[in-house]
Amino acid sequence: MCANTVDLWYYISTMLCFCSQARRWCAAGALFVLLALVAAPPVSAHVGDAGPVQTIVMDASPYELAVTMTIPPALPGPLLVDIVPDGEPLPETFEVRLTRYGSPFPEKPAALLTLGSALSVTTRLDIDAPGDWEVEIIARGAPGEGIMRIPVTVFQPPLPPTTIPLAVALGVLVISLLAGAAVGAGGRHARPGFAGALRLLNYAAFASAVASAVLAWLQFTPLQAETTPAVPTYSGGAPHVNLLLSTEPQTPDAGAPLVMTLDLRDGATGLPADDLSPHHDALLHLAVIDDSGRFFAHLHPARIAPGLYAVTFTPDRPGNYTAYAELMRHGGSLQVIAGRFAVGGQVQIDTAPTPAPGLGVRSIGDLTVEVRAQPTPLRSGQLTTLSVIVSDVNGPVRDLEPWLGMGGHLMMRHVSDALFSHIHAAAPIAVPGSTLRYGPELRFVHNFPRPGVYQAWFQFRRAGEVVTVPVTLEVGSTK
Amino acid sequence: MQTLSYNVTLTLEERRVGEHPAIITIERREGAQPGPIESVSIVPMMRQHGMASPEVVAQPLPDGRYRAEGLLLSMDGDWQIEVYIDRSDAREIATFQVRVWP
Repeated sequence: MCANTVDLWYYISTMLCFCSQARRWCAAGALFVLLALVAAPPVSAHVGDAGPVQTIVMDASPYELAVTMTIPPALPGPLLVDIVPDGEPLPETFEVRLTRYGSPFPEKPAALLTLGSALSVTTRLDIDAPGDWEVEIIARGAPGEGIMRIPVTVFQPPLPPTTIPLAVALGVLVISLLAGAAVGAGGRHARPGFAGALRLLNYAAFASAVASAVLAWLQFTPLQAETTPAVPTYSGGAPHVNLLLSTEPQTPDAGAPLVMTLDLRDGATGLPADDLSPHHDALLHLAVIDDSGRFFAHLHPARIAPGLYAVTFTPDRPGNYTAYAELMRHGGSLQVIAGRFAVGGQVQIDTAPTPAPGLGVRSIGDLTVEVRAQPTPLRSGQLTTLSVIVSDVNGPVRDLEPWLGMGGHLMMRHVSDALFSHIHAAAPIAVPGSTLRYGPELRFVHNFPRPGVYQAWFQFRRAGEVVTVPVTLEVGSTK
Repeated sequence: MQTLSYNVTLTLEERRVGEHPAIITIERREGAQPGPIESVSIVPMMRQHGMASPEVVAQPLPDGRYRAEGLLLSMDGDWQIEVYIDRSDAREIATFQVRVWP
């Protein structure tokens, strides 16, 4: 059978050798495949630990922007940057710059974008090599200027082990075809010496073609179902992070905006902790709550330098505040670091909803929200499902939008113990661009570790607006 | 999966995203003398994303197994499913790691 196959190949290749047009196409095709395999190395690059498409939400005060980065499939290639203002106020223009991590940004922006009446702006930034990069976005508008700098790491995975043998096999195939064409040209294949050489070349071409086919099959067939992480992880986990919290002005007043700066430091070396992985569409989630629980803000400070984050907000009442920074280091797990600060001045007019005690129905804007729990009464040490059921004048709503990748968020703290929880709704996670909608019920499962009074804030988004439902819950002792 | 007193088997009708029934088989381990089981419940947890699904109380079947209806696996990925076996004197927990597909 083998001899028949070889004779068949000999026949085909001889026919090809007689046809100069086919010969050229054959060689050109093989060369094209060879170049395609070698010239465009694939990249599995991404922002942090997530996939090649990653959305990061940051409060580049006074603007909240959701930036979706799409890593190019191969290098060199364009990094797609899509910027969506996430609510009012809207910026008018954007400057986008790209630099290698640790290098100054160029003076001239890579892109100047105008929002106009569009919902988003998109640009492409040329990435020519793997490694660490930073994207700077400066948003400008009537309320002022906001800045964010997002780190992007582009990885180029090692070539599959079959790549080099495949390239060699294809090279042998091309050379043997070209040499066969040269030997057989002008009818020389009929001469005894040339005929033998031609036969040998055809054997080589056949063998390399078979090898190429096998290696190409191996190259493009995944050997295992689960892919290994593209980003190497610390075997022992990353050290903890120290939070250095400061405000400007140093003694802020109620009703006046303050700039909060969060300086994150590695707990071991003291160097900037600049390896945060995005989790739920943000590098840093910050909950700012005053001691009474009447002021609550869920913010996403913008990264402005390695390990340095800043956000502007306006506390509405004097008193002592706690800022809970929720972050995840690359290769580590989530951690919450708290910092305290004080606000002076007088109580401002309160437009925020008053935390309503207990379960039951309450009105939030034009929505009616019922808070339920199962089982009741609430007790510590038992798994409890807390639910919000949302309706409007037309009845139950089913158009709650994903916010930070989830159907809903619940932040909760014990009024006297150092307990802070961030719980996500038991619902599918939304990927960027998802049309997934939730409602009318969002369920959160939690085990209250201690009895006592808890302040809770349910959050979800509808029609682009984040709705916060503050609730005070009294939790009894374990039965 | 073994607990102190039982060999516990968890069977999911589908290891895909959605609400599915689960069958729990509980066999007493050799030498163990636990009291009667009062209730069996099941809780899926997606620890990676900080969420758990509501607890489902399983109902006993005539053949001695238990069936939990509407076990919510809201996303694909690695879930930790805990089976709580409650007696009047103690709770025993069997923990299963389950990969769920889209």
